[in-house]
Amino acid sequence: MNPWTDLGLVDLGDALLDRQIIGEDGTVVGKVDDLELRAEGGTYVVDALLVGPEALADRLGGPAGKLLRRIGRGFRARAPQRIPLNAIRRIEPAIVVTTAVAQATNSPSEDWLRRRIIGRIPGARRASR
Amino acid sequence: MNKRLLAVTLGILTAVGGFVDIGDLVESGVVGARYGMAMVWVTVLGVLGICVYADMSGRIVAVSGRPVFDLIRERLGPRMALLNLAGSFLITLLTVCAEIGGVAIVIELASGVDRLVWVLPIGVLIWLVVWRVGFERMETGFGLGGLAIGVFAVAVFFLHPDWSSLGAQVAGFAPPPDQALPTYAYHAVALFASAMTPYEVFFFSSGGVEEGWTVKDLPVQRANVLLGFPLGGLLALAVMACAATVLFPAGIDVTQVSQVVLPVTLALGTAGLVIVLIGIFAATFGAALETGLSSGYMLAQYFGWDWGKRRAPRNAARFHLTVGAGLLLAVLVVQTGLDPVGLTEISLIFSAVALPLTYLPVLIVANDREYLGEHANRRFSNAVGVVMLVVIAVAALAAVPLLIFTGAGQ
Repeated sequence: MNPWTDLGLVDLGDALLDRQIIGEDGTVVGKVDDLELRAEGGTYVVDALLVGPEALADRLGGPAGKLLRRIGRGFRARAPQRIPLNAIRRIEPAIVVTTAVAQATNSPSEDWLRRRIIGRIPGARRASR
Repeated sequence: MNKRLLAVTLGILTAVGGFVDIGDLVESGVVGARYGMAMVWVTVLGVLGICVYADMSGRIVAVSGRPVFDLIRERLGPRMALLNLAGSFLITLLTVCAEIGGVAIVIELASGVDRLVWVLPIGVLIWLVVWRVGFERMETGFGLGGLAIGVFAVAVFFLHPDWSSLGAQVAGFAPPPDQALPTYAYHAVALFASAMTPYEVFFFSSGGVEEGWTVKDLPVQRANVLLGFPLGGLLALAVMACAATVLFPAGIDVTQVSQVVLPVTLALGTAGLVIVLIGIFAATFGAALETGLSSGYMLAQYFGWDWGKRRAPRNAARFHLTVGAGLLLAVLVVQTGLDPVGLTEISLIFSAVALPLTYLPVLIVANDREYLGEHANRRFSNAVGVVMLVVIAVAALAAVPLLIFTGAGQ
């Protein structure tokens, strides 16, 4: 499902980049850190949203980008996560994707911290009341 | 109806008690002792500014469901937003240090045991509240506790000040003839920053998400801001008036938190001292929580992590790691034994430098009709917002030169 079929020009930087991505069930996925483009017949087609420190690092450049890439590598995130464009349900202004895709797009650093540190502290399973 | 009224009253009282933190306390005391009531206009200006911008960020959250920092990256791009994040994050950590220092000194005043003994236990206690206590309970508890600072207002009357001379100082604006203008300007910048501390906007808007505000909550939220913050500003002025009545005529400069509290003890005895220490404890501890959480909010919202106290910590692991690490760092800094008053002043001056970073994006997003629709800024909000932004820019540019030139306000 492509939400832009009936629109004219779309500024990708404004409409997609750096927006928050969430699942239909409210799962927080991340930001649109970059876009994956595919060359097709002399033009480019947006294939997927990219999420992850490596994708953001490429856009930041400089020492900050380098640091971010190093941190990403520390958590063994090799390539950024891809969210195919057809997983997008609506834009409101956060980008809402299907629950299945949202839950499949996990963050290596979050998983590692959950398993090794935060999840081991007593009370980590209970929201504060 | 009665229940609703109660909720509104509770919200306003929480805002009043939550307004004052170590920055307001110390700087209002310092300024009152040095210049009498001549800087009332600065506090009034600062309160006006925080009201306008808190109202904007409240609207942004209620309408879009997204906190302010979340939108900064979208609007400014990842590089500018990262610069903004780095500045705001460091200032907020510095403020955490100042607040923890404040809590420690209050416990020292109450117990007589040196403040450095208390730093680590305080850090652990703050972390436990972050880990365990729900958002609304935390805010209401410490906000209401902070109301005890109102004892400063009672003390002013019991001190029987010469009201006409206090009034003349308020109308005088200018520093007393024996005081240098640059030092006056330095303290004006610090006092202004104490009212407009940047973390307040991040915390306020993230808190709106934690409490699940919608457009329906806008009137209540507006009442909280437009009544709560000015009343909180009055508490800061009461601190200033106490210092102006007792310390200013005696020519005593405030170098310790105990001197800020002294007028209350003179007026109301031990009972007054007990109440004021409870109030300052609640206010600084509450502010330490707010700043500690804010450091996590900022980072999480820039990178798009899950965050907040409404999630189980294991589902917001990166957020909780950030908050915990920030608190640990702050505890280590305070443990080195830095002077709490000096630490507070430095945190205020660097907050002043970072003010435009915080408030310009709020103004930009509040004008964005894609997010806010009919709730976007009207002419009045924009006019006041832009005027305040000019004041903020002047304060930011002047802050560091004044710091160097006056030798930190000596």
